Amino acid sequence: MSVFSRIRVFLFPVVAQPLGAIGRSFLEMVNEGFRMAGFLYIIFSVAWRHRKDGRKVIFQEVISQIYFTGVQSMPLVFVVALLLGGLLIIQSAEYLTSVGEEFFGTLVNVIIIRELGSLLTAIIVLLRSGAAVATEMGYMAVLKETKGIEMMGINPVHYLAVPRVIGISVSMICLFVCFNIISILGGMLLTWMITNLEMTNLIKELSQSIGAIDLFVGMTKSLFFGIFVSLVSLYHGFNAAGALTSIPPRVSRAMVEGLVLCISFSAMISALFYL
Amino acid sequence: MEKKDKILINLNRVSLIDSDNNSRILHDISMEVKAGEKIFILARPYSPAVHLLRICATMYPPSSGTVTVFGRETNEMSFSDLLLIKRTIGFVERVSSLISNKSLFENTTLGLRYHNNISINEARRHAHTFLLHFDLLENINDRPARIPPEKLRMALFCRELVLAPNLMILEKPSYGLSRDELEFIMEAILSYQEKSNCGLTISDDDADFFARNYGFSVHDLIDGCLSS
Repeated sequence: MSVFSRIRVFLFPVVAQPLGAIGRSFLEMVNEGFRMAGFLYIIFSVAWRHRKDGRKVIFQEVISQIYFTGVQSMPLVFVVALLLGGLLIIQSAEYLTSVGEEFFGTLVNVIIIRELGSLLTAIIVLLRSGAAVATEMGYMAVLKETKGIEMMGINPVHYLAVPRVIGISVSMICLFVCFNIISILGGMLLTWMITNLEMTNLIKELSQSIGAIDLFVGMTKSLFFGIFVSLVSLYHGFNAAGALTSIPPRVSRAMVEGLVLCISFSAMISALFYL
Repeated sequence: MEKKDKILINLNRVSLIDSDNNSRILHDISMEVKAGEKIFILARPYSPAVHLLRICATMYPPSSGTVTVFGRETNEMSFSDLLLIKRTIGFVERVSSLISNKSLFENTTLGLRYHNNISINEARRHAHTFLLHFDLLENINDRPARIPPEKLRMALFCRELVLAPNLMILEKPSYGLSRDELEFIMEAILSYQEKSNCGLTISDDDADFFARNYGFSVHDLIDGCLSS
């Protein structure tokens, strides 16, 4: 056996196998992405096709979802927003005093409105409502409740998925607005308490630094985060099959994929608008 | 054609093959269910009666042969068209269950509210007779986890009857019920059949009971083939 052949025999398991595994994982990831995009297309096409069916029932489901996602998670959003606003000011109090009010506006705009406001709201909704939706759908699929709905002549995607996508997306936008208001107010209050900066100047600087484009980008991000969070949760929930034990891994995957999707999309949109 | 002779389901040389191990489940089955007719399919242990019922209920297509439901061939139908057919079939499986996070009332009237686009109060008025008949009114606001199993089973039948189906397909209706409860359910279903002239297909393991008491015509499934 030549030296080259020996090296090849030695290297094959060391290099080729891990490379193959990486390649397979990548292809599986791409495949999963396409399947998820297909599921999103189904949700939108079903929503359009059945737009006149069962309006009262669907409306009731949308309201329940908004109540669960938007209203019941308000206390959590309130606490996180207040802490974020406070932390931001505690960390930058020293610079605020030396640089002045104009820094406050930029800081709040860049960190809260443009980035963390929508992203943290998305993470809260993903961990709270996304996990609940994925588990609920998983149980329904495994216990054949979705089949029962189908046998009543109701499209399960229309009755279960469409209201959740609408409810979570609407809630996400509302929570984003609330998150921003609370964290800005919290930040201003703390700034006023621990620095000697004038409140009126802070408000003036803030209103000058926040542009319509920032709010538009934040809301667009929130809308898409809402779609992504509901999509991954519904996709994994609907695809749970067989035993009840198949549900926890599905929920776990939904959380991880939802997080990756939201962060990637946030980075992409920020790069598109601000680079 | 007289209303009585209207063919609701027609299975023409239907076969079903298990795609996993290529084994034959149903072989060359031809049958008809007419309006007002009562068909019983004997479900022996390990018999594929449930597959036959699911094909009749358009839950999945056969591997070969044609299924015609209410005069329309289902093989080439889209999912949306199949939903319209499913709406008029009342199918109660042995393992079917109610939606766990909805109350009994919401469960039993979901189809009614969705298809007729009516409010909860209107649905209550429509479904009241059935809920009263099945003695479900006291559990109306309970979720399935808090309801006794026999009442859950009653609720499944009630959910289908509320939708006024043209054809009822029941898999093992005796499952989880005492003989008295089964008789009670059968009386309710047969009284509905008398009024609506719907077809009725049942699969269970006690052919004698159904043939003697309710006049079902009995079919047997042996090796995936149907015999009278």
